[in-house]
Amino acid sequence: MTESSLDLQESGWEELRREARKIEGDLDVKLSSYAKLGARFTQGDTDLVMNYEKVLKCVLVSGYVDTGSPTVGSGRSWKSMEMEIQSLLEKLLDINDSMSRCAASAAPTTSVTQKLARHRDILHEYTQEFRRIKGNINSLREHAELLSSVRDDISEYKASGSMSPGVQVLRERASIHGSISHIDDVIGQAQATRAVLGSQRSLFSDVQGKVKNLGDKFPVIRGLLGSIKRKRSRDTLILSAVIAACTLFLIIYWLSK
Amino acid sequence: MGDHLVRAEEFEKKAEKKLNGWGIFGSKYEDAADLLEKAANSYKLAKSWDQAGKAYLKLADCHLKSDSKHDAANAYAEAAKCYKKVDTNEAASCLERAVNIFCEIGRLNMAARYYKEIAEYYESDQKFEQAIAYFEKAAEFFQNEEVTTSANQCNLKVAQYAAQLEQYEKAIKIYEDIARHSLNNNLLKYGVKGHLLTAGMCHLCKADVVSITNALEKYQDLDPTFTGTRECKFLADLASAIDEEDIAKFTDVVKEFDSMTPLDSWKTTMLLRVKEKLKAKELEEDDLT
Repeated sequence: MTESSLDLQESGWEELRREARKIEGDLDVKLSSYAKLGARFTQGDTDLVMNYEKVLKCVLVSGYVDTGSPTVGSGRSWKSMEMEIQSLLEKLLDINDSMSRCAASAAPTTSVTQKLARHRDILHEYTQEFRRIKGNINSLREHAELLSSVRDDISEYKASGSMSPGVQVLRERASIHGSISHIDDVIGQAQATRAVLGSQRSLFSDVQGKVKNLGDKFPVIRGLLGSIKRKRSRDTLILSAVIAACTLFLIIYWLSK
Repeated sequence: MGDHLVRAEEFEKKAEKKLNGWGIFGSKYEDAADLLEKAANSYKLAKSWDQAGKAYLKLADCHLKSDSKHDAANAYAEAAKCYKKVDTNEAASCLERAVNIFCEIGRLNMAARYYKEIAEYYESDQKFEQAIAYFEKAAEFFQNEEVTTSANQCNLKVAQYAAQLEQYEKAIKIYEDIARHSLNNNLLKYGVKGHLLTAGMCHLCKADVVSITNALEKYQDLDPTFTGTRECKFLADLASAIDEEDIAKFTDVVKEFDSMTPLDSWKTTMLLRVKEKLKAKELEEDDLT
Protein backbone atom coordinates (compact mmCIF):
# COMPACT_ATOMS: atom_id res chain seq x y z
CA MET A 1 0.00 0.00 0.00
CA THR A 2 2.64 2.53 1.04
CA GLU A 3 4.94 1.47 -1.76
CA SER A 4 2.25 1.99 -4.38
CA SER A 5 1.33 5.43 -2.99
CA LEU A 6 4.99 6.43 -2.90
CA ASP A 7 5.38 5.21 -6.45
CA LEU A 8 2.38 7.30 -7.52
CA GLN A 9 3.78 10.39 -5.86
CA GLU A 10 7.16 9.80 -7.44
CA SER A 11 5.69 9.49 -10.93
CA GLY A 12 3.48 12.55 -10.38
CA TRP A 13 6.47 14.55 -9.20
CA GLU A 14 8.60 13.54 -12.18
CA GLU A 15 5.81 14.32 -14.63
CA LEU A 16 5.22 17.75 -13.08
CA ARG A 17 8.91 18.49 -13.14
CA ARG A 18 9.22 17.47 -16.78
CA GLU A 19 6.30 19.71 -17.70
CA ALA A 20 7.81 22.59 -15.72
CA ARG A 21 11.11 22.23 -17.56
CA LYS A 22 9.33 22.18 -20.92
CA ILE A 23 7.44 25.39 -20.10
CA GLU A 24 10.64 27.02 -18.90
CA GLY A 25 12.27 26.24 -22.23
CA ASP A 26 9.29 27.68 -24.11
CA LEU A 27 9.36 30.79 -21.95
CA ASP A 28 13.05 31.32 -22.63
CA VAL A 29 12.52 31.17 -26.40
CA LYS A 30 9.46 33.42 -26.32
CA LEU A 31 11.11 36.00 -24.07
CA SER A 32 14.04 36.21 -26.47
CA SER A 33 11.80 36.81 -29.47
CA TYR A 34 9.71 39.26 -27.42
CA ALA A 35 12.86 41.23 -26.63
CA LYS A 36 13.83 41.23 -30.30
CA LEU A 37 10.33 42.42 -31.13
CA GLY A 38 10.83 45.27 -28.68
CA ALA A 39 14.12 46.15 -30.34
CA ARG A 40 12.44 46.10 -33.73
CA PHE A 41 9.68 48.32 -32.33
CA THR A 42 12.33 50.94 -31.70
CA GLN A 43 12.79 51.08 -35.44
CA GLY A 44 9.03 50.70 -35.67
CA ASP A 45 9.05 54.29 -34.51
CA THR A 46 10.42 55.20 -37.91
CA ASP A 47 8.37 52.50 -39.61
CA LEU A 48 5.22 54.02 -38.17
CA VAL A 49 5.94 57.41 -39.69
CA MET A 50 7.03 55.87 -42.99
CA ASN A 51 3.91 53.77 -42.98
CA TYR A 52 1.75 56.85 -42.58
CA GLU A 53 3.62 58.58 -45.37
CA LYS A 54 3.14 55.58 -47.60
CA VAL A 55 -0.60 55.53 -46.95
CA LEU A 56 -0.84 59.26 -47.55
CA LYS A 57 1.01 59.08 -50.85
CA CYS A 58 -1.32 56.32 -51.98
CA VAL A 59 -4.31 58.42 -51.00
CA LEU A 60 -3.02 61.54 -52.71
CA VAL A 61 -1.70 59.98 -55.88
CA SER A 62 -4.39 57.38 -56.45
CA GLY A 63 -7.78 56.69 -54.95
CA TYR A 64 -7.36 53.47 -53.02
CA VAL A 65 -5.86 52.80 -49.58
CA ASP A 66 -3.28 50.06 -49.20
CA THR A 67 -4.25 47.78 -46.32
CA GLY A 68 -2.17 45.18 -44.54
CA SER A 69 0.57 47.48 -43.36
CA PRO A 70 3.58 45.97 -41.57
CA THR A 71 3.31 48.13 -38.46
CA VAL A 72 -0.21 47.02 -37.68
CA GLY A 73 0.88 43.43 -38.20
CA SER A 74 3.82 44.04 -35.93
CA GLY A 75 1.49 45.46 -33.29
CA ARG A 76 -0.85 42.51 -33.56
CA SER A 77 1.90 39.92 -33.20
CA TRP A 78 3.34 41.89 -30.31
CA LYS A 79 -0.01 41.82 -28.48
CA SER A 80 -0.59 38.12 -29.08
CA MET A 81 2.94 37.24 -28.00
CA GLU A 82 2.47 39.21 -24.79
CA MET A 83 -0.70 37.27 -24.02
CA GLU A 84 1.04 33.99 -24.79
CA ILE A 85 3.88 34.74 -22.39
CA GLN A 86 1.41 35.84 -19.72
CA SER A 87 -0.52 32.59 -19.96
CA LEU A 88 2.69 30.54 -19.92
CA LEU A 89 3.83 32.32 -16.74
CA GLU A 90 0.49 31.59 -15.07
CA LYS A 91 0.70 27.95 -16.08
CA LEU A 92 4.23 27.69 -14.71
CA LEU A 93 3.06 29.24 -11.45
CA ASP A 94 0.31 26.62 -11.18
CA ILE A 95 2.79 23.82 -11.84
CA ASN A 96 5.14 25.17 -9.19
CA ASP A 97 2.27 25.19 -6.69
CA SER A 98 1.41 21.60 -7.64
CA MET A 99 5.03 20.57 -7.19
CA SER A 100 5.10 22.23 -3.77
CA ARG A 101 1.99 20.35 -2.68
CA CYS A 102 3.33 17.09 -4.10
CA ALA A 103 6.63 17.53 -2.26
CA ALA A 104 4.86 18.47 0.98
CA SER A 105 2.65 15.38 0.87
CA ALA A 106 5.65 13.10 0.39
CA ALA A 107 8.63 13.14 2.73
CA PRO A 108 10.69 16.11 1.52
CA THR A 109 14.33 15.32 0.92
CA THR A 110 17.09 17.85 0.48
CA SER A 111 17.39 17.43 -3.28
CA VAL A 112 13.65 17.91 -3.75
CA THR A 113 13.72 21.11 -1.71
CA GLN A 114 16.65 22.43 -3.71
CA LYS A 115 14.93 21.67 -6.99
CA LEU A 116 11.80 23.43 -5.79
CA ALA A 117 13.81 26.50 -4.82
CA ARG A 118 15.54 26.45 -8.20
CA HIS A 119 12.24 26.34 -10.09
CA ARG A 120 10.84 29.15 -7.99
CA ASP A 121 13.89 31.30 -8.71
CA ILE A 122 13.53 30.68 -12.43
CA LEU A 123 9.86 31.69 -12.35
CA HIS A 124 10.69 34.87 -10.44
CA GLU A 125 13.44 35.79 -12.88
CA TYR A 126 11.25 35.26 -15.94
CA THR A 127 8.43 37.29 -14.41
CA GLN A 128 10.74 40.21 -13.72
CA GLU A 129 12.20 40.11 -17.22
CA PHE A 130 8.77 39.94 -18.85
CA ARG A 131 7.61 42.92 -16.81
CA ARG A 132 10.64 44.96 -17.77
CA ILE A 133 10.35 44.25 -21.49
CA LYS A 134 6.63 44.96 -21.41
CA GLY A 135 7.26 48.33 -19.78
CA ASN A 136 9.86 49.20 -22.41
CA ILE A 137 7.59 48.29 -25.30
CA ASN A 138 4.67 50.21 -23.81
CA SER A 139 6.68 53.38 -23.34
CA LEU A 140 8.12 53.18 -26.86
CA ARG A 141 4.70 52.63 -28.38
CA GLU A 142 3.19 55.54 -26.45
CA HIS A 143 6.06 57.77 -27.53
CA ALA A 144 5.56 56.90 -31.19
CA GLU A 145 1.81 57.37 -30.96
CA LEU A 146 2.19 60.75 -29.27
CA LEU A 147 4.60 62.27 -31.76
CA SER A 148 2.85 61.32 -34.97
CA SER A 149 -0.40 62.36 -36.59
CA VAL A 150 -1.91 61.99 -40.03
CA ARG A 151 -2.67 65.67 -40.56
CA ASP A 152 0.81 66.67 -39.56
CA ASP A 153 2.24 64.43 -42.26
CA ILE A 154 -0.21 65.82 -44.81
CA SER A 155 0.84 69.38 -44.05
CA GLU A 156 4.49 68.36 -44.12
CA TYR A 157 3.97 66.67 -47.45
CA LYS A 158 2.34 69.75 -48.92
CA ALA A 159 4.88 72.19 -47.49
CA SER A 160 7.93 70.05 -48.15
CA GLY A 161 9.03 72.18 -51.10
CA SER A 162 8.45 75.60 -49.61
CA MET A 163 10.69 75.88 -46.56
CA SER A 164 11.61 79.51 -46.05
CA PRO A 165 15.01 80.43 -44.52
CA GLY A 166 13.35 82.75 -41.98
CA VAL A 167 11.82 79.79 -40.18
CA GLN A 168 15.20 78.09 -40.02
CA VAL A 169 16.84 81.18 -38.56
CA LEU A 170 14.11 81.48 -35.93
CA ARG A 171 14.47 77.83 -35.00
CA GLU A 172 18.22 78.21 -34.65
CA ARG A 173 17.76 81.30 -32.48
CA ALA A 174 15.37 79.40 -30.22
CA SER A 175 17.88 76.58 -29.96
CA ILE A 176 20.69 78.95 -28.99
CA HIS A 177 18.45 80.62 -26.44
CA GLY A 178 17.63 77.23 -24.97
CA SER A 179 21.31 76.37 -24.73
CA ILE A 180 22.06 79.62 -22.94
CA SER A 181 19.26 78.95 -20.47
CA HIS A 182 20.61 75.49 -19.81
CA ILE A 183 24.10 76.90 -19.21
CA ASP A 184 22.70 79.42 -16.74
CA ASP A 185 20.89 76.63 -14.91
CA VAL A 186 24.01 74.51 -14.67
CA ILE A 187 26.13 77.41 -13.39
CA GLY A 188 23.50 78.23 -10.79
CA GLN A 189 23.40 74.64 -9.61
CA ALA A 190 27.18 74.53 -9.38
CA GLN A 191 27.28 77.70 -7.29
CA ALA A 192 24.61 76.40 -4.92
CA THR A 193 26.45 73.10 -4.59
CA ARG A 194 29.69 74.93 -3.79
CA ALA A 195 27.94 76.92 -1.04
CA VAL A 196 26.48 73.76 0.47
CA LEU A 197 29.85 72.01 0.37
CA GLY A 198 31.44 74.96 2.15
CA SER A 199 28.88 74.80 4.93
CA GLN A 200 29.42 71.05 5.09
CA ARG A 201 33.15 71.56 5.63
CA SER A 202 32.55 73.95 8.50
CA LEU A 203 30.17 71.39 9.98
CA PHE A 204 32.88 68.73 9.79
CA SER A 205 35.30 71.08 11.54
CA ASP A 206 32.81 71.43 14.38
CA VAL A 207 32.41 67.67 14.51
CA GLN A 208 36.18 67.27 14.71
CA GLY A 209 36.26 69.58 17.72
CA LYS A 210 33.48 67.62 19.38
CA VAL A 211 35.22 64.32 18.74
CA LYS A 212 38.38 65.65 20.41
CA ASN A 213 36.32 66.67 23.43
CA LEU A 214 34.81 63.21 23.48
CA GLY A 215 38.27 61.66 23.36
CA ASP A 216 39.27 63.69 26.39
CA LYS A 217 36.38 62.14 28.25
CA PHE A 218 37.38 58.59 27.40
CA PRO A 219 39.43 58.04 30.60
CA VAL A 220 36.30 58.86 32.58
CA ILE A 221 34.37 56.32 30.57
CA ARG A 222 37.11 53.74 31.04
CA GLY A 223 37.00 54.28 34.79
CA LEU A 224 33.24 53.94 34.74
CA LEU A 225 33.46 50.68 32.86
CA GLY A 226 36.04 49.40 35.33
CA SER A 227 33.84 50.19 38.29
CA ILE A 228 30.88 48.51 36.59
CA LYS A 229 32.98 45.42 36.04
CA ARG A 230 34.14 45.35 39.66
CA LYS A 231 30.58 45.76 40.91
CA ARG A 232 29.38 42.95 38.70
CA SER A 233 32.12 40.58 39.86
CA ARG A 234 31.30 41.51 43.46
CA ASP A 235 27.65 40.61 42.81
CA THR A 236 28.74 37.29 41.38
CA LEU A 237 30.89 36.55 44.41
CA ILE A 238 28.06 37.39 46.80
CA LEU A 239 25.66 35.15 44.92
CA SER A 240 28.15 32.28 44.91
CA ALA A 241 28.76 32.65 48.62
CA VAL A 242 25.02 32.59 49.40
CA ILE A 243 24.48 29.48 47.29
CA ALA A 244 27.44 27.71 48.88
CA ALA A 245 26.21 28.59 52.36
CA CYS A 246 22.72 27.24 51.65
CA THR A 247 24.07 24.05 50.15
CA LEU A 248 26.38 23.50 53.11
CA PHE A 249 23.53 24.12 55.53
CA LEU A 250 21.35 21.56 53.71
CA ILE A 251 24.10 18.94 53.81
CA ILE A 252 24.75 19.46 57.53
CA TYR A 253 21.02 19.30 58.33
CA TRP A 254 20.66 16.08 56.36
CA LEU A 255 23.64 14.48 58.07
CA SER A 256 22.47 15.51 61.55
CA LYS A 257 18.97 14.11 60.82
CA MET B 1 24.12 23.84 0.75
CA GLY B 2 22.75 20.56 2.12
CA ASP B 3 25.07 20.88 5.09
CA HIS B 4 23.63 24.29 5.90
CA LEU B 5 20.12 22.91 5.71
CA VAL B 6 20.88 20.02 8.06
CA ARG B 7 22.61 22.32 10.53
CA ALA B 8 19.68 24.75 10.38
CA GLU B 9 17.22 21.99 11.18
CA GLU B 10 19.37 20.86 14.11
CA PHE B 11 19.46 24.37 15.54
CA GLU B 12 15.72 24.66 15.15
CA LYS B 13 15.13 21.38 16.99
CA LYS B 14 17.38 22.51 19.82
CA ALA B 15 15.46 25.77 20.05
CA GLU B 16 12.14 23.93 20.18
CA LYS B 17 13.47 21.69 22.95
CA LYS B 18 14.68 24.73 24.86
CA LEU B 19 11.32 26.43 24.53
CA ASN B 20 9.42 23.36 25.68
CA GLY B 21 11.78 22.84 28.61
CA TRP B 22 11.86 24.65 31.95
CA GLY B 23 14.50 27.31 32.47
CA ILE B 24 16.20 27.41 35.86
CA PHE B 25 18.79 30.13 35.48
CA GLY B 26 18.37 32.94 32.97
CA SER B 27 15.62 33.06 30.41
CA LYS B 28 14.77 30.19 28.10
CA TYR B 29 13.57 32.72 25.54
CA GLU B 30 17.00 34.31 25.27
CA ASP B 31 18.70 30.96 24.73
CA ALA B 32 16.07 29.93 22.20
CA ALA B 33 16.54 33.27 20.46
CA ASP B 34 20.25 32.61 20.02
CA LEU B 35 19.59 29.19 18.56
CA LEU B 36 16.83 30.46 16.27
CA GLU B 37 19.09 33.19 14.97
CA LYS B 38 21.71 30.59 14.06
CA ALA B 39 19.03 28.44 12.42
CA ALA B 40 17.74 31.36 10.38
CA ASN B 41 21.27 32.21 9.25
CA SER B 42 21.80 28.64 8.10
CA TYR B 43 18.52 28.65 6.22
CA LYS B 44 19.61 31.81 4.44
CA LEU B 45 22.89 30.18 3.49
CA ALA B 46 20.92 27.23 2.13
CA LYS B 47 18.72 29.67 0.17
CA SER B 48 15.55 28.33 1.81
CA TRP B 49 13.93 31.73 2.05
CA ASP B 50 10.55 30.49 3.20
CA GLN B 51 11.96 28.56 6.15
CA ALA B 52 14.34 31.38 7.01
CA GLY B 53 11.38 33.74 7.19
CA LYS B 54 9.52 31.38 9.50
CA ALA B 55 12.58 31.06 11.73
CA TYR B 56 12.87 34.84 11.98
CA LEU B 57 9.19 35.07 12.90
CA LYS B 58 9.78 32.61 15.75
CA LEU B 59 12.81 34.65 16.77
CA ALA B 60 10.65 37.77 16.90
CA ASP B 61 8.16 35.95 19.14
CA CYS B 62 10.97 35.00 21.53
CA HIS B 63 12.22 38.57 21.68
CA LEU B 64 8.71 39.87 22.34
CA LYS B 65 8.26 37.42 25.21
CA SER B 66 11.52 38.54 26.79
CA ASP B 67 10.55 42.20 26.28
CA SER B 68 13.25 43.06 23.75
CA LYS B 69 11.09 45.12 21.44
CA HIS B 70 13.89 46.55 19.36
CA ASP B 71 15.33 43.11 18.65
CA ALA B 72 11.87 41.81 17.77
CA ALA B 73 11.39 44.61 15.26
CA ASN B 74 14.77 43.87 13.70
CA ALA B 75 13.83 40.19 13.46
CA TYR B 76 10.62 41.12 11.66
CA ALA B 77 12.63 43.26 9.26
CA GLU B 78 14.97 40.35 8.53
CA ALA B 79 11.95 38.09 7.97
CA ALA B 80 10.62 40.60 5.47
CA LYS B 81 13.92 40.53 3.59
CA CYS B 82 13.65 36.74 3.29
CA TYR B 83 10.00 36.73 2.30
CA LYS B 84 10.60 39.44 -0.28
CA LYS B 85 12.08 36.81 -2.55
CA VAL B 86 9.07 34.51 -2.41
CA ASP B 87 5.96 36.37 -1.23
CA THR B 88 5.58 40.13 -1.30
CA ASN B 89 2.38 40.25 0.76
CA GLU B 90 3.99 38.29 3.58
CA ALA B 91 7.02 40.58 3.47
CA ALA B 92 4.78 43.64 3.71
CA SER B 93 2.90 42.21 6.70
CA CYS B 94 6.19 41.47 8.50
CA LEU B 95 7.38 45.01 7.95
CA GLU B 96 4.03 46.29 9.17
CA ARG B 97 4.55 44.44 12.46
CA ALA B 98 8.04 45.92 12.70
CA VAL B 99 6.57 49.38 12.12
CA ASN B 100 4.02 48.86 14.90
CA ILE B 101 6.79 47.97 17.34
CA PHE B 102 8.91 50.95 16.33
CA CYS B 103 5.91 53.22 16.86
CA GLU B 104 5.45 51.78 20.36
CA ILE B 105 9.05 52.47 21.37
CA GLY B 106 9.05 55.91 19.74
CA ARG B 107 11.42 55.27 16.84
CA LEU B 108 9.42 57.10 14.22
CA ASN B 109 12.42 57.48 11.94
CA MET B 110 12.76 53.74 11.55
CA ALA B 111 8.99 53.36 11.18
CA ALA B 112 8.99 55.86 8.33
CA ARG B 113 11.86 54.07 6.61
CA TYR B 114 10.07 50.74 6.78
CA TYR B 115 6.81 52.25 5.52
CA LYS B 116 8.77 53.49 2.53
CA GLU B 117 10.20 50.02 2.05
CA ILE B 118 6.71 48.46 2.09
CA ALA B 119 5.64 51.01 -0.50
CA GLU B 120 8.60 50.08 -2.69
CA TYR B 121 7.64 46.39 -2.47
CA TYR B 122 4.16 47.17 -3.73
CA GLU B 123 5.60 49.51 -6.35
CA SER B 124 7.77 46.76 -7.79
CA ASP B 125 4.71 44.49 -7.82
CA GLN B 126 2.82 47.28 -9.64
CA LYS B 127 0.08 47.55 -6.99
CA PHE B 128 -0.14 51.30 -7.14
CA GLU B 129 -3.07 51.96 -4.79
CA GLN B 130 -1.29 50.24 -1.93
CA ALA B 131 2.00 51.86 -2.86
CA ILE B 132 0.33 55.29 -2.69
CA ALA B 133 -1.15 54.56 0.74
CA TYR B 134 2.19 53.50 2.22
CA PHE B 135 4.16 56.30 0.58
CA GLU B 136 1.69 58.72 2.17
CA LYS B 137 2.23 57.19 5.60
CA ALA B 138 6.00 57.30 5.13
CA ALA B 139 5.88 60.95 4.05
CA GLU B 140 3.76 61.84 7.09
CA PHE B 141 6.19 60.16 9.50
CA PHE B 142 9.22 61.75 7.84
CA GLN B 143 7.52 65.12 8.12
CA ASN B 144 6.86 64.50 11.82
CA GLU B 145 10.58 63.89 12.31
CA GLU B 146 11.51 66.97 10.21
CA VAL B 147 13.27 64.90 7.55
CA THR B 148 11.94 67.03 4.74
CA THR B 149 14.00 65.62 1.88
CA SER B 150 12.76 62.07 2.34
CA ALA B 151 9.20 63.31 2.90
CA ASN B 152 9.33 65.16 -0.41
CA GLN B 153 10.68 62.11 -2.21
CA CYS B 154 7.77 60.03 -0.93
CA ASN B 155 5.30 62.77 -1.80
CA LEU B 156 6.63 62.93 -5.35
CA LYS B 157 6.05 59.19 -5.67
CA VAL B 158 2.50 59.62 -4.37
CA ALA B 159 1.83 62.36 -6.90
CA GLN B 160 3.29 60.36 -9.78
CA TYR B 161 1.16 57.29 -9.12
CA ALA B 162 -1.91 59.34 -8.27
CA ALA B 163 -1.69 61.00 -11.68
CA GLN B 164 -1.22 57.60 -13.27
CA LEU B 165 -4.47 56.49 -11.60
CA GLU B 166 -6.19 59.70 -12.82
CA GLN B 167 -6.39 61.36 -9.39
CA TYR B 168 -5.24 64.65 -10.83
CA GLU B 169 -6.37 67.00 -8.05
CA LYS B 170 -4.28 65.15 -5.49
CA ALA B 171 -1.23 65.10 -7.74
CA ILE B 172 -1.55 68.81 -8.57
CA LYS B 173 -1.76 69.78 -4.90
CA ILE B 174 1.36 67.77 -4.03
CA TYR B 175 3.41 69.13 -6.91
CA GLU B 176 2.43 72.71 -6.11
CA ASP B 177 3.24 72.27 -2.41
CA ILE B 178 6.66 70.84 -3.20
CA ALA B 179 7.35 73.62 -5.70
CA ARG B 180 6.38 76.26 -3.15
CA HIS B 181 8.61 74.66 -0.54
CA SER B 182 11.51 74.30 -2.97
CA LEU B 183 11.50 78.00 -3.79
CA ASN B 184 12.89 78.77 -0.34
CA ASN B 185 15.87 76.46 -0.78
CA ASN B 186 18.83 77.59 -2.86
CA LEU B 187 19.73 74.08 -3.88
CA LEU B 188 16.23 72.93 -4.81
CA LYS B 189 14.87 75.99 -6.57
CA TYR B 190 16.31 75.01 -9.93
CA GLY B 191 13.99 72.01 -9.95
CA VAL B 192 10.88 74.10 -9.41
CA LYS B 193 10.09 74.46 -13.09
CA GLY B 194 10.07 70.69 -13.41
CA HIS B 195 7.47 70.38 -10.67
CA LEU B 196 5.39 73.18 -12.17
CA LEU B 197 5.57 71.50 -15.58
CA THR B 198 4.25 68.24 -14.20
CA ALA B 199 1.53 70.05 -12.27
CA GLY B 200 0.54 71.87 -15.45
CA MET B 201 0.38 68.61 -17.36
CA CYS B 202 -1.99 67.24 -14.72
CA HIS B 203 -4.19 70.29 -15.30
CA LEU B 204 -4.10 69.53 -19.04
CA CYS B 205 -5.23 65.97 -18.39
CA LYS B 206 -8.33 67.34 -16.69
CA ALA B 207 -9.21 68.88 -20.09
CA ASP B 208 -10.17 72.20 -18.54
CA VAL B 209 -8.69 75.20 -20.37
CA VAL B 210 -9.78 77.68 -17.71
CA SER B 211 -7.99 75.80 -14.96
CA ILE B 212 -4.76 75.54 -16.93
CA THR B 213 -4.86 79.27 -17.72
CA ASN B 214 -5.44 80.14 -14.07
CA ALA B 215 -2.72 77.73 -13.05
CA LEU B 216 -0.21 79.31 -15.42
CA GLU B 217 -0.96 82.76 -13.99
CA LYS B 218 -0.55 81.40 -10.47
CA TYR B 219 2.75 79.75 -11.33
CA GLN B 220 4.10 82.95 -12.84
CA ASP B 221 3.16 84.80 -9.64
CA LEU B 222 4.77 82.07 -7.58
CA ASP B 223 8.05 81.99 -9.50
CA PRO B 224 8.82 85.07 -11.64
CA THR B 225 11.58 83.21 -13.50
CA PHE B 226 9.07 80.64 -14.73
CA THR B 227 7.68 83.08 -17.28
CA GLY B 228 10.65 82.91 -19.61
CA THR B 229 11.27 79.18 -19.46
CA ARG B 230 10.57 76.65 -22.19
CA GLU B 231 8.31 74.77 -19.82
CA CYS B 232 5.98 77.74 -19.45
CA LYS B 233 5.90 78.29 -23.20
CA PHE B 234 5.23 74.59 -23.72
CA LEU B 235 2.26 74.61 -21.36
CA ALA B 236 0.86 77.81 -22.84
CA ASP B 237 1.13 76.47 -26.39
CA LEU B 238 -0.51 73.21 -25.37
CA ALA B 239 -3.31 75.11 -23.67
CA SER B 240 -3.97 77.18 -26.79
CA ALA B 241 -3.85 74.07 -28.99
CA ILE B 242 -6.44 72.43 -26.75
CA ASP B 243 -8.55 75.57 -26.76
CA GLU B 244 -8.54 75.61 -30.56
CA GLU B 245 -8.92 71.80 -30.64
CA ASP B 246 -6.06 71.59 -33.11
CA ILE B 247 -4.35 68.18 -32.97
CA ALA B 248 -1.74 69.13 -35.56
CA LYS B 249 -0.62 72.12 -33.51
CA PHE B 250 -0.60 69.96 -30.38
CA THR B 251 1.63 67.42 -32.07
CA ASP B 252 3.96 70.11 -33.40
CA VAL B 253 4.39 71.63 -29.95
CA VAL B 254 5.10 68.26 -28.35
CA LYS B 255 7.52 67.29 -31.09
CA GLU B 256 9.47 70.52 -30.76
CA PHE B 257 9.70 70.18 -26.98
CA ASP B 258 10.70 66.54 -27.28
CA SER B 259 13.46 67.37 -29.76
CA MET B 260 15.28 69.39 -27.09
CA THR B 261 14.20 67.69 -23.85
CA PRO B 262 13.22 64.06 -24.42
CA LEU B 263 10.00 63.20 -22.58
CA ASP B 264 10.13 60.37 -20.07
CA SER B 265 7.54 57.62 -20.10
CA TRP B 266 5.32 59.25 -17.47
CA LYS B 267 5.04 62.50 -19.44
CA THR B 268 4.47 60.52 -22.63
CA THR B 269 1.56 58.70 -21.03
CA MET B 270 0.01 61.93 -19.76
CA LEU B 271 0.30 63.75 -23.07
CA LEU B 272 -1.07 60.75 -24.93
CA ARG B 273 -4.17 60.89 -22.74
CA VAL B 274 -4.67 64.56 -23.60
CA LYS B 275 -4.25 63.85 -27.29
CA GLU B 276 -6.73 60.99 -27.23
CA LYS B 277 -9.31 63.22 -25.55
CA LEU B 278 -8.79 65.78 -28.31
CA LYS B 279 -9.26 63.10 -30.95
CA ALA B 280 -12.44 61.87 -29.29
CA LYS B 281 -13.84 65.40 -29.20
CA GLU B 282 -12.99 65.93 -32.85
CA LEU B 283 -14.70 62.68 -33.80
CA GLU B 284 -17.80 63.78 -31.93
CA GLU B 285 -17.90 67.02 -33.87
CA ASP B 286 -17.39 65.16 -37.13
CA ASP B 287 -20.34 62.94 -36.28
CA LEU B 288 -22.46 65.98 -35.52
CA THR B 289 -21.60 67.58 -38.85
